[in-house]
Amino acid sequence: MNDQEKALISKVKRGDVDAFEQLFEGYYKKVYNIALRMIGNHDDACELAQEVFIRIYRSIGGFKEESQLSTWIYRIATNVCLDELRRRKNRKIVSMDEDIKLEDNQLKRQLEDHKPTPDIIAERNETREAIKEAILQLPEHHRTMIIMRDIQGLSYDDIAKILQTPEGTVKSRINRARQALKKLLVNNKELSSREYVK
Amino acid sequence: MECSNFRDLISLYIDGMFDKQQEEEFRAHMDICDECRYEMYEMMELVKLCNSIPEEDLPDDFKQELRIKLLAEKEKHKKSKWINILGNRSMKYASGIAAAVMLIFAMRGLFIHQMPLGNTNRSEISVQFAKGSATERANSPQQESDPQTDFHDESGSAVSGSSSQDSQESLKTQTDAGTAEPEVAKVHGRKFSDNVSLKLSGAGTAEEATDNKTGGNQERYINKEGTRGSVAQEQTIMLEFSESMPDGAFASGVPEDEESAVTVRQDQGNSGMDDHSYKFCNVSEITIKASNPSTEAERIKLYLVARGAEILDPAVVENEIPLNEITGNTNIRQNKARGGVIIFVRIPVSLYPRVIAAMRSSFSPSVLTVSRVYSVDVSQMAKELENSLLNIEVQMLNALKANENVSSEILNPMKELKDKASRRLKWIKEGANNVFVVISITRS
Repeated sequence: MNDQEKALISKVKRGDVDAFEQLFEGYYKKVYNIALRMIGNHDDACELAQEVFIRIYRSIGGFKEESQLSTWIYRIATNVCLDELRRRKNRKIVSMDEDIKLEDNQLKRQLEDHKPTPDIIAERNETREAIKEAILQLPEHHRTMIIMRDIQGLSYDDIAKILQTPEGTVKSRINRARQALKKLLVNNKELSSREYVK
Repeated sequence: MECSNFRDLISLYIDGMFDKQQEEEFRAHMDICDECRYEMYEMMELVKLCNSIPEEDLPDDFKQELRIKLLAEKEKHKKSKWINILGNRSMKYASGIAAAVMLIFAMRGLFIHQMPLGNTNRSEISVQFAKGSATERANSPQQESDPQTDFHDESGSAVSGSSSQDSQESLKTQTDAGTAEPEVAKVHGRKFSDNVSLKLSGAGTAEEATDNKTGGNQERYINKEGTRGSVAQEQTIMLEFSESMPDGAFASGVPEDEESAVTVRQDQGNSGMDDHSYKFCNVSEITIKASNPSTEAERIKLYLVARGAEILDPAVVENEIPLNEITGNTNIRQNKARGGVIIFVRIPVSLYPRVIAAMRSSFSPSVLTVSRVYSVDVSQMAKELENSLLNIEVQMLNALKANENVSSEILNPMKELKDKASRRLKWIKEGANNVFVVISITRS
């Protein structure tokens, strides 16, 4: 961490919003994209990403200057997103009947959206959409891995630091997450082509 | 190597995490097992696909919304901090603050008494002078600048300053409207250094008085804002205040030392333009569709007042708040022209997210849209208003020096201008701790 960053941090610790923006604006987009892949829609991602930075603003007093700023930001971003996902899951259990109905509809809609077209570009976009969709269907811990490693391009070492887990665990988790994603994609594809034949 | 073992290691291979020996073993298995090789290529394809997902841009209002939320957080923190200070170390800080307050009053008193007072007329003015900006004046940099002339436009600030022609016209209107001594009204457009030496009988002419740069300066505020707030119109934004963290969470991380206490105190007080919290005015523009705009307006006013908002008198907004210069917005007038109703509201930054969240839950997204949320840099505007204020004060003093029995016909228009400028300055300075919300209620 350079001197300028240190000076900004101490200003932020005293509540300076301008200094906060100077220090963190470069991370806004990254955090927003993490939230977007975690939660799946722009409005919620916007809310969540802002929540991440509010939490950073509140807790900057606890940030130790010897640790890396980006690691700390990613950690808070991951925690905020996981908290939200957990919160939603709990909410779902309460109204299970409704959700089943809703999910049926959603499923139909998704399948309709993904009818194959002859256009290659559209197909490529479609594959990308299918991947995004599948990522959202992954369990949270797998989703986190795919987003950090394959979308954000973070190293194994960085991910281990962010999640505060041993690198060995990260290694096996990344592989399992990718396997799960592949399985989901294959399943979704099968479902979709079956629907298309009908 | 077993197939299951191979599959556990595929990712490490793809990510280049192997050492040489591991890689050789891995490749050896790949050569002999078609299924595992196929599995690996599929996985590689998957990773490539994930890598190709493009990063998406931030929503247009992301930064502005976040800024407002951060300011709200700061406010909240400031309050809890004050409670802490007063609770824990009340005597230490309270005595310090009391001393500071007393010192300010003492200095003001000193200032008033040292004024060269001749008669009652003068003393009245000088007291007012001291009240208006004794401390600000002392801090104010005596630099040359192009003072804003728009505040002497009595015909309605909403249009003033939109072009230099406008400003010229308004100046003429006022001059014609009959001050006995037209020179008085002319001086505001001049540079500060000129004004210092300008006597009441001085050589100001109408042409000189019209500051051609006025239009340009106004543009500048808006352009400055433009960099922050090039915002998409009619984009629906969701602002919901998160209550998930306890209030004290921030305070725990901040050292409770003398320095931070001082910072808080400065933020609370009139520390002048150097303080960053005066740099911005926050504005939010909301559109609500209603079948009967005027009835709906009354309902919304009640709704907002109940939630801590302050409804602003449209006349005050027209004449005293430079809101139109701040927003640079013509939509407000257009919406009004179309038969809609405009409500101007001021909401403390700390309450804003909650009020908006409440409104959003009360109105459907098709009815309520938050068109823009932004902060505008008004430091320049405030600085120029301060300079203008200073100019008027100097003029008033010079008038008195030149002629002790100067008539109230000369002084009164000056006083009016001065009051108007101070009121505008006050609104601007309070802008950082509040959000000005312009609500257009249009016919659905």
